[in-house]
Amino acid sequence: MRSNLKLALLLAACSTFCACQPKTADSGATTAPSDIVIGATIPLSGALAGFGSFQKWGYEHAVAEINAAGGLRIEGTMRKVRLVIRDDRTDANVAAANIDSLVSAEHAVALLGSCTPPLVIAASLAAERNATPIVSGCAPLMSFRAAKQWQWAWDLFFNEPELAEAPFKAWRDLNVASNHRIVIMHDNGADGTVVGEQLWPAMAARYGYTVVANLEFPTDTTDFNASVQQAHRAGADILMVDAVTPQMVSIRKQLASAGYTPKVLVMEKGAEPTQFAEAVGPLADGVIVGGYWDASFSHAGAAELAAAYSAETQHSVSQHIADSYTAARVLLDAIGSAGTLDKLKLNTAIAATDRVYPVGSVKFAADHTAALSIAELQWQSGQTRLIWPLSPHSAAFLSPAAASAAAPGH
Amino acid sequence: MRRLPHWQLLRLPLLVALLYGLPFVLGPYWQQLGFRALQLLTLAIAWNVLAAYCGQVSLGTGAFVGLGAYAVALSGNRLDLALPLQLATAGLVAAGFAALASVALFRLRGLYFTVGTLALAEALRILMVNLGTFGGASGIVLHAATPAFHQLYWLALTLAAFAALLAELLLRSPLALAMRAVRDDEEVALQMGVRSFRVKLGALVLSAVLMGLAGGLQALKLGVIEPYGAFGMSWTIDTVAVAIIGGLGTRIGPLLGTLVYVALGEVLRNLPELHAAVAGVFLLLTIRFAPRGLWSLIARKSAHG
Amino acid sequence: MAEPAPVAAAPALQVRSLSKRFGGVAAIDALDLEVRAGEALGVIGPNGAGKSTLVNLISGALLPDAGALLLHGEEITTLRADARARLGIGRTYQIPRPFARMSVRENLALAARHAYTGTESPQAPQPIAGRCEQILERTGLADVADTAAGELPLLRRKRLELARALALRPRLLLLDEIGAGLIETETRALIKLIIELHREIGTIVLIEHVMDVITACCERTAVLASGKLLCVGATRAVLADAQVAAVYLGTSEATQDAAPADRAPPRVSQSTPGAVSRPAPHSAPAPASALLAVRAIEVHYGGVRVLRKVSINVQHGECVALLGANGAGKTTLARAISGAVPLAGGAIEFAGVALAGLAPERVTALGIAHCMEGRRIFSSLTVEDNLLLALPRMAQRAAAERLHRVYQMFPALYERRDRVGTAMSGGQQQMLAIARALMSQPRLLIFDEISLGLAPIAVESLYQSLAGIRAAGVAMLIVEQNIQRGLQLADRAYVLAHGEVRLSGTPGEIRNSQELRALYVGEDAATQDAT
Ligand SMILES: Nc1ncnc2c1ncn2[C@@H]1O[C@H](COP(=O)(O)OP(=O)(O)OP(=O)(O)O)[C@@H](O)[C@H]1O
Ligand SMILES: [Mg+2]
Repeated sequence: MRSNLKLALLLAACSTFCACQPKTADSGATTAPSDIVIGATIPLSGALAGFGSFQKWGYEHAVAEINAAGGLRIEGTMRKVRLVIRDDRTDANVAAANIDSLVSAEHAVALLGSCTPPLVIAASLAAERNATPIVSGCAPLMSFRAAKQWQWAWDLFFNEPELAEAPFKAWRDLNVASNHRIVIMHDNGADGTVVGEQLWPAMAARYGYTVVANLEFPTDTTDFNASVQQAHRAGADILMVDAVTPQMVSIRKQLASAGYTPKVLVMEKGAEPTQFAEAVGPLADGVIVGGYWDASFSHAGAAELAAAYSAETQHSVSQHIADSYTAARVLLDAIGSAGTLDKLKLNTAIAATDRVYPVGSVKFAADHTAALSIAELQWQSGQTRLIWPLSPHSAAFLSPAAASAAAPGH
Repeated sequence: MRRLPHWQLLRLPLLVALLYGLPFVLGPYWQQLGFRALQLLTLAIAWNVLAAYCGQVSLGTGAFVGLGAYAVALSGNRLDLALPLQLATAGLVAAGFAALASVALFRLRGLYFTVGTLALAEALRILMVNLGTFGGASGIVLHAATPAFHQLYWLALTLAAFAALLAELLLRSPLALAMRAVRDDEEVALQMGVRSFRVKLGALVLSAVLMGLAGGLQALKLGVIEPYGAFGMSWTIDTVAVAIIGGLGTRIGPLLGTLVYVALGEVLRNLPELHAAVAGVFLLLTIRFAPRGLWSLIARKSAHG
Repeated sequence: MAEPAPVAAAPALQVRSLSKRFGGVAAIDALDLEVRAGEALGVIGPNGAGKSTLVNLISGALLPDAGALLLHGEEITTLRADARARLGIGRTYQIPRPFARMSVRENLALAARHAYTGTESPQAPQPIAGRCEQILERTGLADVADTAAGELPLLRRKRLELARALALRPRLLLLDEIGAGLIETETRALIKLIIELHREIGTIVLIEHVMDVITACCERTAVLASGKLLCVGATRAVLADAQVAAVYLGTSEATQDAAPADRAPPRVSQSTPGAVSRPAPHSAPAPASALLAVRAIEVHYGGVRVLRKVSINVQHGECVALLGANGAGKTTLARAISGAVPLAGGAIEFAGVALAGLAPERVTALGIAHCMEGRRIFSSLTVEDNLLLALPRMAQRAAAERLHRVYQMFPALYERRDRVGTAMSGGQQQMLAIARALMSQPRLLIFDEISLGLAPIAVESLYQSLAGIRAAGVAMLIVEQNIQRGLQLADRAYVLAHGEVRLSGTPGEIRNSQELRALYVGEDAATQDAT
């Protein structure tokens, strides 16, 4: 009697399941059958939500453009694109699960990736298992490359060594005067270690600089006073920091309260978003940060992309809209050129990408990565200015020391 | 124990065959869903034993899941162990850690114990972030290829069956009575000669092993692990939600809770903003109107009807 | 009674300058005491003397601040509680602490698993299940073996304490007030059981406020006061001691023993008879003026009829006693009045307001205070906050004055007013429960097992206070096992049996009734297995 009830209960639960079984593409209750489904997993909540919002705009903007132009021609008929975006909550477990269900439940033919190596790699591995192409635009190439020899996953972003080398090239080209002594501070996260422990010291040696101190800190620290004092004492003109934004804000403030103003201040990664400048105010001025895109870039479409973003959102532009927009365009263009939804052919079409996009020219190497060109940006009066490579548009270098002398109250 | 009628004896092998045969009928979507459900079920069973039967409410699921995941990744990558041995390592590492932690944890009673377990996952995450040798914040990519969906499903099914069996054996053993006594009143249990430390340790280790194994499967599934996801809070939240929705201290509760929770997630999968809110409201409603879980409602209905 | 122990044998238990302090107070103060092997030692003393603390120290629930404990010559001072249990020390809790979500049988089975086996010859031990069944039979718990222990009424929980301790097969059994709240016949049965157990187990330490049990079971008795040993010796001599009478017994025990059952109402005056209308016995219809009128109520617990057409009434300013064996339905009647159990039929009216369906807090607001059996002291509140909580909101201004009044009645509470309510002795907690009921200055007071856990001297002064309260015009409904006590104070009494009113009338009528004795004695067989 009782066990019958249990059985009935299980059946009831199973039928609940069946009620929410995914609609297959041809059942077509919610979707026009002709739509091409693209799935995306991005961090819309959690620690990386800031990046996720830019990615969302970039992906959606690219799809909207294509749909406005009538969609993509697949086997002779124009079909609209439907983008399904899932929040991965900055959790690699969720990113992978999203990919699985985007393919199995939403029947996505191709995918767009998340941000930062852990999420991108988790999503890419899931895509590999699903034998579905995925293009990401937010994972530095070295770590992406190191994970495995990819078949279905593609990444377009900067190459860590180039980003690490850029400041040295910039100082050379801009004739920045210093005592050639460098203090490095970096977190112990994925790229922090690579940049701070390997790349910067190697570049310093190559360009004739001396690293007088190399200070590592964990990714959860908030108190940097000891490191700051140590850096101050080392007597270097140049301070190079690699950390995420919240930490970078603390470091910049603690540098100021320690009365330490280096002549040259590179704050990689964390000083890039506008939140950094908003949080530290005038202390941002003179801070150098590497980048791969700026609205002032001469690539076709760069200015238009920036203008579209500002017009739609009323926010100041971030470089992340460029790589995510481009990742989506690369994927959509590949579908267009393949003219089919066959995943294998699609993948081949992505491999063949060779075109200039707003973020720069994109061409994938055999290891499935496409390196974006690097630029050095500097915060000046609350804005990032391109200071390198030299061009008619580039601004002059500003030393933090000069900036703090000019700013009232400092 | 009661003797089961013959048809019930037959029912079990039939059920097993049916469950293992499902991937031949159902596609990847159901296999993935099945994997997630069975993994959650394992976690809920493990938590149920410790919290509902032994009264030690733990928020440390993430710690054991994460350890299991790391154990599988490291033993596979560095020691080249075969899969069964990798999983055995996951169970052992989680059990070892539980035994170590118990010395400090069981000094704490009630709410303090719970908060103590909450700190476990956090501490391990920070440790892993800072331990360069274990991949630091960037984590570890497994060398071995990720298993296919149906294989993952079979692994999860086997694990869940193992968990259910283990829990059943435990509940029929003399230890179960001691566990419930410790839950009801630990001081009095001591006065009745119960070695309460050992009893609690037994429950903690058992649940840790199962959680470690579930974490090991997660590593296999992802092919990559990193500290934030492996030791994440969501493991704990999901586990507790499933156990509470289904019903504490019952055998069928975790299963029911899993089905409801996973179904809820699937219904709302395209409304991520709503999902957390609805799941939260559902949990609150359960606690308010069926504090002993959905199963208690059904059991009561059937007792009356 | 036990034969004297062999001279050479080590004492079963030696307590050597044992001390335990709670905060600044010494609950046990450099106590030296010997429990001889094979004896049943009575331990008595005023509320808060340290008796339960002593049990806790011997059983290992508490560790002493100083001193030593030796069990059969072996030091056990630092052993943990579980180890002591396995060495054969069994104890009961004065305020029962069953494993609430386990069945009664499981409660026993757990203890039986850790039974002491040390001195037994290694013959095959009796299977656990069988032993548990036997104990359940002996302690009268067989009928509730599968009930969750948390659902048992107070007195059966006390029985379960005893049963569980027995399942441990102790060689030293510590019994902390298992005899409270029993009527005469039940007490006699308990005495018989303890004497049997004494023969089987060997050594028993028996804490009781019921002197009949002490005199019947214990050859020697120790008296504690303020954590110190006041005296120890042959029970008769100890009870005759003038000092013991002064600090513990008071005057009543002696008088009661001497007094015939039908003697006239003694000291406690039944004044104001003119103000009270005394209805004739068996007068079924309640006068319209009754403060409380219970009319033919029925109460069922899960299909079982617990009260059958029960009608009682209480007049303004009247004191009514509710008598009857355990399980007769007295507590259920009290709980039905205060709205804690739903009625299956009949009606209750209080001061003209129908109570049926009202929530307990509404009933309280109407002016009924219920001092429940099994108390419910809030463990997170201080004594004073426990008292203030009972105050209706309008009465906040009167708080100081009312506190003053109850503190006068129970000085022990005043001394402990800043302490957590449950960090007191069992008797002190009972005082708090009574005081809490008095705080709201109700029109009707319901006391269930009012003297439970109180030392004789405390009962005496309590009854004096109650007489004063009654004189002030407050009506009372008192559930009391001690018939003499109850009848001394009451204007009228009802006797319940098997959920029905069997007898009612003035104390004199009840006392002289042929039925009363028959009822109480007649209950004998029934109470043994149905209570
Ligand atoms: N947990 C506690 N914290 C602080 N003081 C306590 C605690 N338990 C008991 N006390 C105090 O210790 C003293 C001895 O208490 P104990 O319970 O041993 O008395 P008792 O002799 O058993 O009294 P009763 O006859 O009322 O049960 C009392 O003054 C009591 O208030
Ligand atoms: Mg006591």
